[in-house]
Formats: sequence, C-alpha cells, structure tokens
Amino acid sequence: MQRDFPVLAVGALFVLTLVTGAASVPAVDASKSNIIVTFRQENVPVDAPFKKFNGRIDYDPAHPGAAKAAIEVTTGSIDLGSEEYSAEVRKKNWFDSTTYRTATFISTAIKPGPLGHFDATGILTLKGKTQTVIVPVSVARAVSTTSFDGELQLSRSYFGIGDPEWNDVVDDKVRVKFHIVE
Amino acid sequence: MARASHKCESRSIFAVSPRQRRFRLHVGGIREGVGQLGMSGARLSGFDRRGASQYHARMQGYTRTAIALHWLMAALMTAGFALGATMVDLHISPRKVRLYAYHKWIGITVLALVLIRCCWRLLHPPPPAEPMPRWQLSAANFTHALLYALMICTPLIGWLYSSASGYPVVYLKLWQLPDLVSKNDALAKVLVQVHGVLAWTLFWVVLLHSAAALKHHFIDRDATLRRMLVWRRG
Repeated sequence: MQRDFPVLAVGALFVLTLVTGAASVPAVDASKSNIIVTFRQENVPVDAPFKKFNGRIDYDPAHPGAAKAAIEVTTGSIDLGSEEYSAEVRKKNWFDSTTYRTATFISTAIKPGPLGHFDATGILTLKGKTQTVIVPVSVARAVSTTSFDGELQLSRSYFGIGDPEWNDVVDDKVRVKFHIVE
Repeated sequence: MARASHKCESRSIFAVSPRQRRFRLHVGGIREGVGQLGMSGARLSGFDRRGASQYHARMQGYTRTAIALHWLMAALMTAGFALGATMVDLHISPRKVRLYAYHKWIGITVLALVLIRCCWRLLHPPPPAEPMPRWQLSAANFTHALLYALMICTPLIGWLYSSASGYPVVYLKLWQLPDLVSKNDALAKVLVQVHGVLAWTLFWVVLLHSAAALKHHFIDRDATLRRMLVWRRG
C-alpha cells in the first residue's frame, strides 16, 4: 500500500493535469455519460453505476490513431441500489475507497478499426493494482457531442476486490460498461 | 353404487387409468340416476359434467391435488415468511444474499402454485361447507377470499420490489424472470413497505384460518379440518 502510493500519486497527478489542462477543450459530460459495473450474485445480474467520474477523450476522426483517453472514477461513488450495500463495497475488503479514492484508465495506444471503431489499449489502475486492458470502443458523433461506448471484463480477484468468503455468491468476472459523452 | 358402476365399467376398464376410472366410477353412479331420463352416460353434456364434478365434490371432499396444493403452499409460505422475517435484519453477508435468493424462489413458487390452485379450484369446486351458523360461513368465505388475494399479491409485490430495486429474480439460479418495472428507488421504498404489510397481514389471516380449523375440529367436532387431511380420507 505504502509502496503503491507514489505510483498512484503520479497517476492521479497525470489525470488531474489532463483534466484541468483541458479547460479549453471539451471534457467528459458526466451528466450525459455513465459508467456501469455489472456483477452477478447468485447468478443475478446487478447493475451498479458510478455516480462520480471525470476525464477527457481527445479524438479527431481524421486521425483516430492519435486519440488519447484518460478517465478517473471515484470508487466510493458506486451505487448498489441501497446505501447499506454501497457502504459495504467502500470498505477495505472491497474498493477500500478511503485509501484508493479513484480508479483510472489511461490510454497508451489506439488502434483504429472500421469507421467509428477503435481499440483502446491502456492501463487500468484499481485498488493499487494495474492491468493493461484492450477495450473495443465505438464512436458516435452528433452535432455538438461525441459519444464513446464500450465494455470490458475484469476479474475481482485480480484487483483484490471482495472478501474471499463472497466468492461462492458473487462471480469473479465483472463487466464494466461505459457511455462517455463529451 | 360401486357394484352397479363396476358393471358399467367392465367394457372399458383396461383402457383407462385409475384416475379416469375413478371419474367414470362416480359418473357411473350419476348415470344410474339419469338413466331413466334417457341420457347416455357415454356422452355427457357440459351440464352433466358440472353436475358430476359437484357430485364428486360432495361425495369425495377435496381432491388429492387440492389437498397437496394446500399443504405444500402452507409449508412454503411458512418457510418463506420465516426467511423473510429473519433475513431483513441480518448484516450484509454471503448468507444474507443467499437467504434473499431462497426467499424469492419460494415466493415465485408460491405465486405459480396459487395460480395453478385457482385453476384447479375452478375445475374442481371444493366440497360445500359443514353445517355452521351463517356468520361463520360468511367469515370463512371472506377469509378464504382474502387468503387467495394475499397469496397472489404478496409474492407479486415482492417481485415488483425486486425489479424496482434493480435486482432481477433469477429463479433457482437458472431462469431470469422479466423485470416487472424498471429500476426506481422511490417506488422500491414504497413496494418494500407494501410487501411487508401484506406478508404480516397474510401471517395473521393464516393464523385466523388455522385457529378456525382447530375450532371446527376440537369444539364443533365437524369434518372441516379432517377433510383437508389426506390420510384421513376413506
């Protein structure tokens, strides 16, 4: 935990720089965007949205390969439908939101696909652990906004999220679905 | 009656199941009575069929299916209620999540069974009540109607509550049931209250129903309870 701190601080600083530096360019419109975690408990799919997140996606349709994305999610803002459960997942065994306030995704490479699609490779940092993920993203442009949609699957155990005693009830695989508008 | 109908049955006895045979046996009994009117037992009109099933109800009491449904639902509702009453106060734990799942499965089972039971009851009318004062008969009819309404509404509202709170019901961990409403926190808060009130009302009405059955058995000493006990049927 102690050792992870500088990495985390640098990461957070990086994201912060990106976010604040983007004052002139559009940033994520959180009111129109959503990031939803879907997990299964007793095989029941439960959607839990994060209420707080920010970030920025630089995307030029003429040069999709040069796109850049940085998203920061406040882990404690997850909503499991009842405050009792939401409070539970903020605890140490789960997100440990006091120590690891945010989770971040920072793109490292963008591979353009067919029109309106790209694969974003990036580093996901969550609860002090990092993982390189590749996320297929689809882009839809409207008059004044651009939206990015995608989905990725994560393992709870990899990030140490959830007490092992829950493993019989809650699936290890968790899907994260996002709809980012800026 | 048995001897007479046995004669009637002798031609087709190998072609029918014991259940069909039982039906034919009592139809045979009726046929004797209507035979003089020139009606053929082989071709029963709807009216005769209804007459037959009423005759069946009077003579044989509840069907085995009705009795089985009654006690199966009694057991499930007791388990479901006990689970519901204990699980809500538990701290978050895998056990709590499991108990909620079991509670929902029981509720869905009760809902399915009560619908089957309603259909069965329409097709197989219950036997007429034992002789009792008019007010008791009205009270019994009202209690029974209330029980049916609660047996349908309590699990249904529970299912609605589950949907409204964003947790679909996955029956026996296998089949995901459709959400009756989309996620709505305000609605969920109301529905959980309603579900609780209905469950507690059901609890008290079941208690009243049981007390009345015991009163008929031990004080009035009539067949009200006995005819719902399958092993007492002769």
